[in-house]
Amino acid sequence: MNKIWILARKDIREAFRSRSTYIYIAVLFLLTFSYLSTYTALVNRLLEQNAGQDAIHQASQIFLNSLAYTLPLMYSILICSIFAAYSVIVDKAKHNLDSLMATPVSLKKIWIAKSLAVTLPSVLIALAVSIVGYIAINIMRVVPLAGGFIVPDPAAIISAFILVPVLILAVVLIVVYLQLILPNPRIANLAFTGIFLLLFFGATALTSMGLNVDFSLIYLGLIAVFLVIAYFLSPSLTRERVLLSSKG
Amino acid sequence: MENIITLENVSKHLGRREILKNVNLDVKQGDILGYLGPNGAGKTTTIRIILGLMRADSGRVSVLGQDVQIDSVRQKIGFVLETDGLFDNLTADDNLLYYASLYDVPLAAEKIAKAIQLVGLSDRAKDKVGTYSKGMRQRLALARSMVPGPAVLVLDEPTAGVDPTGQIEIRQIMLDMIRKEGKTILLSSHNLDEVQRICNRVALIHRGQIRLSGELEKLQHEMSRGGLTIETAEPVPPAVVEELKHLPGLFVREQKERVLQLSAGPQDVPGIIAWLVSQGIGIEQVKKLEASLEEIYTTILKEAETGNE
Repeated sequence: MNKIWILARKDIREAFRSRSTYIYIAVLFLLTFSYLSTYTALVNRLLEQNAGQDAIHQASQIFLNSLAYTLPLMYSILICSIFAAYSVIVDKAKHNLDSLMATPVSLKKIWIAKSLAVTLPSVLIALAVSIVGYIAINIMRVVPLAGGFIVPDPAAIISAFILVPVLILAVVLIVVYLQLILPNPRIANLAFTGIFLLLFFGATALTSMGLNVDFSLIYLGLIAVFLVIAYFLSPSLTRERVLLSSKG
Repeated sequence: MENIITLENVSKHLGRREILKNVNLDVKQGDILGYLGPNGAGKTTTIRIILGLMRADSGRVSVLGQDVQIDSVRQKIGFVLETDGLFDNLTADDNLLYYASLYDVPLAAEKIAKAIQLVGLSDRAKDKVGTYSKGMRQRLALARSMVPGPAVLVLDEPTAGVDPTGQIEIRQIMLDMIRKEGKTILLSSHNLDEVQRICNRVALIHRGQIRLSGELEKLQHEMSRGGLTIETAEPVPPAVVEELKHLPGLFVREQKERVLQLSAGPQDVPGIIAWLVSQGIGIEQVKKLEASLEEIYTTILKEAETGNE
């Protein structure tokens, strides 16, 4: 575990030295504001239907629960692409991985370390931005329109703090595996962007419809699927494959 | 002496291409083995197999008696690869500290300071490696290989890109590691002069096959093929040289001023000397000629090329 942390810590520090990491964080904040208009539109629709305060409060609770379920996941995925660039893509392009693999550290540990170096900061940033965004939406829209500050359901909180990090780690393990063995690791990085777009449009559609979806079960199912895939992929990750996939 | 690195009948294919063909190689305790060969001969693949970065298709590879695929074996192997593996955004100190922590090196800070001093980078230890020249990076990579205190070092062209003064210093460091610390070194290099200066053994690989290996001194004697240098008191007259050419069992390689280079069997040498003296030629010195590593290298490669045709 110690070696894994040594490897991961170095990669995380390198990523935070880059300006683009901070630009991404700013972009996440900007994205959060798009939910203000989504929420306003939802409440306006209810007001047009002459819905009472209880109905607005209930719809707001569902909306904010959906945010608690989806925002940390989407933001984590989005920012994963920048951390993966530092953790794997740069190291592979400069052949630093060759030297790392020649040390006594096992390739499995390198794989896990690289995955943690992508997952940990991404999840922490995503949670921080989500919490700030959640409070901002509450203060700017929910309190005036629904009559009070709405806290997400315990299940949504558990999902944000436990299920989402594990799900992100499971996804990152697979993407990092692909980055390690593909001659062009940037292709694997596109997976993050693809998943983000899928989640963004999917979640926006669900939240604007005000549907009460059980995300926890979906996440648990996805975690199981991704971890099983990662488990079956692991034997095929060899030093030789990684080495020969590096160009130059 | 104990074998530190052993390769027995090692073969390796990459796709359809056979990179190594039944390679046998051993590096004994205290050796500096110069691993030579033209580009694409299989040197880097051999090094990658020794470091456990690749698996041999067949044959046996061991370092310090253990299978190189076992992670803990690499604890005792220092390395310099083709690419230095250094991180541009970290200082020299931090780069070495990072690698030292992967080897669980005790008293790492002290060892790092010593290694950096040894390669002459103390005044730049706090600078980011991204600002280093190629030569400085090579020195730092060598310093990194020393920090874990390995029993064996596998060095792939450690002086590539280093200026002549730096090359001399690195050579001295390698010699000190052997003489003072009892290390064993496998040195892959294109620099024949460097290998001749510091290596006690050499192996020459060509098209995936070891064409020659052994103690450098012995090889130089053997490859001289009865070479002999005779220094005479006066320049040898052309007529005498012409007559000499017709004597049985000898071949006149070259004659310049007072130096005569011949090839002859050891049993013929006294007769040749006596004949020259009888012709009134004063002999000042007779030396057995040693083939240079460059001669050995080119001869073996030419033979290999001819044999392959």
